[in-house]
Amino acid sequence: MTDFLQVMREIFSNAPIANRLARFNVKSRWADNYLGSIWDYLEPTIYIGTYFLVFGMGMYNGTVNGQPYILWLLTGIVPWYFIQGSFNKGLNSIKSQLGLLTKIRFPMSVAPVMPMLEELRRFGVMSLVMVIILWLFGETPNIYWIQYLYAFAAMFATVLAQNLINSTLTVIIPDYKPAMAALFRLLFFTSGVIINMDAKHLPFVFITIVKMFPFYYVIESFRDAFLYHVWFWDKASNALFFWLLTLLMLMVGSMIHLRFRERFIDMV
Amino acid sequence: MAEEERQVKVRASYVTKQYEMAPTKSDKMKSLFFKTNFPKFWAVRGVNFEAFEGETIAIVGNNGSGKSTLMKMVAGIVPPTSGEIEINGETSLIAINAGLKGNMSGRENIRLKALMLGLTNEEIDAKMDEIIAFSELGDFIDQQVKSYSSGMKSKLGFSISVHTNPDILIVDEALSVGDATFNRKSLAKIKEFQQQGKTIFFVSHSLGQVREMADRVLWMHYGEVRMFGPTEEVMNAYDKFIADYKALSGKEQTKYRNEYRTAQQNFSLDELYEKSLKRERKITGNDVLPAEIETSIYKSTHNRHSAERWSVVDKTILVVLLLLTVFVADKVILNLGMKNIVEHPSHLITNWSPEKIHELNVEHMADDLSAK
Repeated sequence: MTDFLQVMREIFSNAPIANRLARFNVKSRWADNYLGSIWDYLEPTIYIGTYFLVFGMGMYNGTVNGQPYILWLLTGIVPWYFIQGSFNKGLNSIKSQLGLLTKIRFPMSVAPVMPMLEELRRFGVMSLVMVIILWLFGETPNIYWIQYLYAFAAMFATVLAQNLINSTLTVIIPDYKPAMAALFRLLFFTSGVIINMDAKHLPFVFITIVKMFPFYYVIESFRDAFLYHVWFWDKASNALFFWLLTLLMLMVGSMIHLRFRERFIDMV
Repeated sequence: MAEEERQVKVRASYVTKQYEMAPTKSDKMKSLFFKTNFPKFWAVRGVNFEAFEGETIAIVGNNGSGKSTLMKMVAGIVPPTSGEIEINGETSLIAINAGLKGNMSGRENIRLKALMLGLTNEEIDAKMDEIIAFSELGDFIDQQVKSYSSGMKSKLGFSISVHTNPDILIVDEALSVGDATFNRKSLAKIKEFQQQGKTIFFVSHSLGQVREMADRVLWMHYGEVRMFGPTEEVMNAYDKFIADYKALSGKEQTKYRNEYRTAQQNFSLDELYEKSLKRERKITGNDVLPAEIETSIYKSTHNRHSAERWSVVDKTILVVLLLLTVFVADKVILNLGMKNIVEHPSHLITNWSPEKIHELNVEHMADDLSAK
């Protein structure tokens, strides 16, 4: 608990630095390309179009769980892009900075947060587009949309917990990064982003466990807000499990982060 | 004395740095979770010093004496294993290899490094031209750093570091990297800092430079402070040591080195405590020290870095959380209601039997059929 609080304190007190660095990184990411940051939006658009054609039209005939597939897909894939971007960059966030960290006094605890800040702008823009499309499909704004904030908080917390653990373990265990990258691709399919996991022919226990994965819960929360109109406290057990697990991961993540931080420098 | 009125910028007390010599990465991994018995190496063994505002302190010593490690600790980059370093001010470390990113242009590197040091974009814009001018890079500033020569890189690194306006400057062998003209300029810049009253530490093997610049000299010898005092006094002793050491035969030199290496491996905090007691006795001239002084020395020599410890409270919280999480997971997976659990707590386990699981599956699929 003390470790966790310490990491949080460090992150908050260094938030301005992290924020400025994140903006710098966003700017320089596509600086060499002719289209620049358009790629940030072009790539998701192409993928969403493909998923819509292949899965939406091909597999689900346009509707899933009583919702238009395009809305169902959008409410899932917009948060997923945030998760994906932060997760993949989070794996390398400390390792890629190690060279600099031995030369510059820099609060290392903000390194796992930076990929998340870098993803924020795109997430904001994509959320806006998603809301507009929802509206065009006749989903008028209602009280349940407030849960967007809850879902966002849940997503932020769980990705932070993941990044804290991942960024540290990548430095320590050489095999960790490829293993997590492979697992993450698997999670893309089991988290119900493009494939509906509510299909009833799968064994109950199996499907319940799949649904207990944090990323599934996050995406389900976004859909609860925009599509299903369910409050999060109506699924109290799942919510409780999610937050307990997230807290646990945050604590373990902070613990190993602090314990190993001093040794990162010896490992360069 | 005038010195007592001056503000202390850096105070190191009983500072040590221990490295664990684990042969492989996976062994290092083990030392995180278990008590391991790898040989330890104490790169810094109980260093005490105070640096005042506006002072220039040179650190001398042969290779591997812990100079760079000590400087990294003073800069706040590497945390000490035990002891304490009090830093009052912003530090900036200038090292030979300045930590530039090869795939960015010089200009972007300036911005990135300055941002990492906590400057705002407005501050950077204001200083950009000055930094570029100082680095003498001209049009190359917009080229990728990987195309720079090593001289250009170190010039750029030096320019960035001196322009971030630190009040404690730590120069680690970076004063002899560029060509002669650039070195003159760097020295002039450091002197300018001296006049502005900044505190400067610098590591150098150029003894002439040390005599020219330093107010005081800290002589590091295999992780310990051999001598710390006015430049003339320490440098004369150091010169004598170097001459004596050179006069030794190759074998004798190796023997000498190995003796100290062994001492660095066998060092312990208790040893430091004993030594500090002896020193204190010598300074005060008393053979018996008051008990409170002994305990305070014991405490300061033995305060290991807190992040390595893990309190009972933390462990308890973690275990309780873990148990709660497992309980809720069990409840969710077996689809048990709270009422059911309170009445039959054993269901949390017995419902894992294959028949019960099968029941759940059948119910689940039946839901589906009825829905259709």
